[in-house]
Order: sequence, then structure tokens, then C-alpha cells
Amino acid sequence: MSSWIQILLDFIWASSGLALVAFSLGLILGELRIVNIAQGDLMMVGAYSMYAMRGLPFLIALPLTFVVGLGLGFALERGVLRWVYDKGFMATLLATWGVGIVLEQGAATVFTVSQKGIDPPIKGLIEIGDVVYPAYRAVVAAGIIVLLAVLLLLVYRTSFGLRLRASIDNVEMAAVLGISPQRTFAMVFALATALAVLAGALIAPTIAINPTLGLSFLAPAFFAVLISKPGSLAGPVLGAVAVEFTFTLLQTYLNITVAESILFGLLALFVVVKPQGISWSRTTAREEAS
Amino acid sequence: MSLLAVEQLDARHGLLQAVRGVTFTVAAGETLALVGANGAGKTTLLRTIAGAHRPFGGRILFDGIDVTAVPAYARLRTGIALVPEGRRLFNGMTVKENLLVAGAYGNSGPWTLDTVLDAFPLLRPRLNNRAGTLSGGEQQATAIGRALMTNPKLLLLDEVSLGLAPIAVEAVYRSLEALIKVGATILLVEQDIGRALGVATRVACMLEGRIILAKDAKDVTREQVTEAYFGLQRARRVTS
Repeated sequence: MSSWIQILLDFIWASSGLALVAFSLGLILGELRIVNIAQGDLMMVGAYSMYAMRGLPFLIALPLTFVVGLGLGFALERGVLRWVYDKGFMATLLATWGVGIVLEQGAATVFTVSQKGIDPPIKGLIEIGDVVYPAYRAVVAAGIIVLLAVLLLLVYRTSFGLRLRASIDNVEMAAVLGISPQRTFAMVFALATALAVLAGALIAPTIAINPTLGLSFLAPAFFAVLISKPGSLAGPVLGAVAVEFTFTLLQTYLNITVAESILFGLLALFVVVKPQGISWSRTTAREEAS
Repeated sequence: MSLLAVEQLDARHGLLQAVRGVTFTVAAGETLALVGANGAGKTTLLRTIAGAHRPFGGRILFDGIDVTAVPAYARLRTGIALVPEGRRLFNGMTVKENLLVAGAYGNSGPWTLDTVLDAFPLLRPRLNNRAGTLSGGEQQATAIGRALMTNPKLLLLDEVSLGLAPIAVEAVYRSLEALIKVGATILLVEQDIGRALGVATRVACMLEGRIILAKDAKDVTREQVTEAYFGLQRARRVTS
């Protein structure tokens, strides 16, 4: 019984973090039609940002890190990505891969490759039955769930979200209706970057911080986006829960290496069976009219 | 003064020149029908006027202002609205959302959600249905309604009857006639010459990127348009 509560709590913790990353990845794929290989490295930036500001109170460092994410995202979109939109899927893939390498090497240069760590701002434990669980994880998981709920309300219940969904559905038609693609691209990438950075900042106290920490998050987040309905922003969140559920299940009965192998085997299998899932093909008026 | 003046407009798709030195005007309150075969450049011309396609050369004057370099999203506010070929609704969104999103950046004016629904009453029971689930006629009504929500001075309509059942075409054209009656300015692309002549005040025929015939609708016969449509005059010149 107690082990099941433990597994459940771990599952909620892991899926909340993954859901936030998957949401940000899905946002970028939906609007910019780019698979951002650097999404995991943006989490790494968030973790190092918290490490760099470890002298500050956590609740001051966290919003500052979010602002760092917004600025970084805006700079990357305006400075790098907008030059490769027209160059095809492979070019955008390579560009974000390159951004990831630069971020990793930058972190290694500034902070060295030795592992860093920060203390969680909440050190207490909560007791549920006879299970003892770190209070920080419980609070962060709850916080992320609230944040995702707010984000999804923003997307599906506000006029801002309406314009965003229109742009995701058909960027050219949205432009004809007054929605600037450039502005939307920059805004979406800045927001999605900041959310990935925030996710990294939140998990920072629970992990060993190193320049390649983001890599282990990218594949499951990508999997979560891939199995969701194209263009849907609730999809990646549910996808993350499904991926984490599968992983938790595998992990319960198998050792972690075998579990990971099977999970990524499933991902590879899914790509083979449903390759069109990756590109989320955008049918533009241009293609069909010409 | 004319509302829209297109001067020596060139538009290309890569190396293919779709619109070649096209010049014409549309006066306020007028309905100009643009007819021509597939690939004549009608859709590209409309998209270029709406700002969705970047012109290669020439000028587009709207309301006396040169809008050639104005990007699509900003051109909306000058008062140009496009109902694109194939409708291009936001299929995952409801009818209501499709209409409201168009109102967000449009101009204010007589067209609101209520007045659009009065003009297209068939949409009322469908308001909360996803656009992708509608019938072709309902989708076309939504597409026209969406353009009207921006309160345009000029409405660009691209093949509004394409792929619709005859009864739906009838309904769409009845709504168009009602719009024309209240003074809307319309540039209409239509394959069906009879339909085009029925609503238009003027007719222009495109062939291979050029306008080869432009006349008042009342002065032109169906045969003249048909000849121009298929490029028969030119073919005769070449063979004789």
C-alpha cells in the first residue's frame, strides 16, 4: 500500500515537470513548426540560472530566471530562428541543435562541467499514511498543475488564446485577419523558452546540475508531443501524463535502464508507424493555390 | 475616385509568372467579376491584393494610398478582406471563434457577430460547432461572415461556389446579392460565367496572367466572355 502511494507521488512529480516541458515544446511545434532540439538545454539554463542566483531568496531568483528565459527566447527567435524558417524542416532542426550545443558549451565554460547543486527552499517532509515525501516536490508539482491550468485557460478561453490558436491552425490566414506572424512567432518562442527555463529552475534543487542535464528530458517530452493531436495544446500535457504513466509502470517492474530502453523503443516504433506525426504538416493556402 | 487601383502588377511563384502587368480599378459600390480558366492567375491576383502574396512589380493603391508594401496583417485595417479559395477556416475552432477572431483586429462598423448571423441565419444553430464539421455551404457562409466581421471596404471573394452543392451555391449568391444591394464593393473570382454575369456590374477576363477583356456586365455577352475565357481570339489570330 505505502509503496503505491510513493509511486503515485513520484508519478505526479515527474509528469508535472514533463508536462510543462512538453507544453512548451508543443507550443513551439504548433506555432513555428519547429522541433526545438534545444528545449532540454533551455531547462539546463534555468537550473544554472538558479545556481548563479543561489545567494538570492528562491522566490526572487525564480521570477528573475523566468525573465532571463523570456529574454533568451526572444533573442534566439529574432537572432537565429527567423533566418531559417524558409529553409525547411531540416534547417530548423539543425539550427536548434546548434543552439543547444552553444548553450551546453557556454554552461560548461562558465560553470565548469563539475556537478552543482542548490538547496530546496522548502526542506520539510510531508507524511501521507506511512509515506514520507519531500514537501518541495509536492508544492512544485501542485504549482505546475495550477500553472498549466492557467495556461490552458489562457489558450482556450481568452481572445489572446483565440488569436494564438488561429495562428497555429493557419498562420497565413491569421495574417490576412490582422494577426502578425512575426510578432506571434517571437512572442510564442519567448514564452515557450521561459516555460522550459522555469521547468529547469523548479527541478534544479532535486537534481545534480550539469551542462547536459536537459538531454534526458527532451526525448520523453518529444514523445508526449508526438502522441498528441496536432495543433492541440492540451494534447502535450495529456501526452506527458501518458508517457510518464508508461514509464512509471515499466519502472515498477523492470530496472530503470531496461524501462528507458523500452520507452524509447516505443518512441522509435511510433515514429515508424506514424511518421507524419513529426512534421504536423501545415497545409498553406500557398501550396494549395499554386 | 476608384477604391482600388491595380497598376502594372506582376506576381510570381518562383520562376513562374502568374500575374503579368495587370492594370484595373474597382470603384466604390461596384462588383467586378474576374473570370478565367484554371491557372489564369486569378487567385494569385486576389492574394496579392490581400497582401498574402508579395508582388514582384507594380503598385496597388487602396483608397488613394499605396499599400503595395503593407504586410497582410496591416492591410486588413486599411479595409481589405479576403475570402480565400477553399475557405481556409480554422477547422479546429468553433464557428463563433472563427467569426470573433476576425473581429479582433478588424475595423469597427455595422458588421458584428449579431449582424453577421442575421445575414447568415443558417449559422446560428451551428455557432458552437467546430468549423471542420460543417457542410460546404455552412463553411462558405462562415468564411464570408468571417471576412465581413472585419468591416471591409473591399471584399475579395475567391471561388465561393467551388465544391458546393447547387442549392448551397444558390444560398451563397442570394447572400451576396443582399450585400451588393446595401452597397458593398466586391471583387469576385468565379469560374461560372453565368453566375459572374448575374451579380457583377463589370467583368474582367484573365488569360495566362493578363486581363484580356474588361467591360460593363450589361455590354458583354456570354459568348464574348467564353471566347476570352478559353483564349479563342488569340488562338484564331495565331492560326490565321
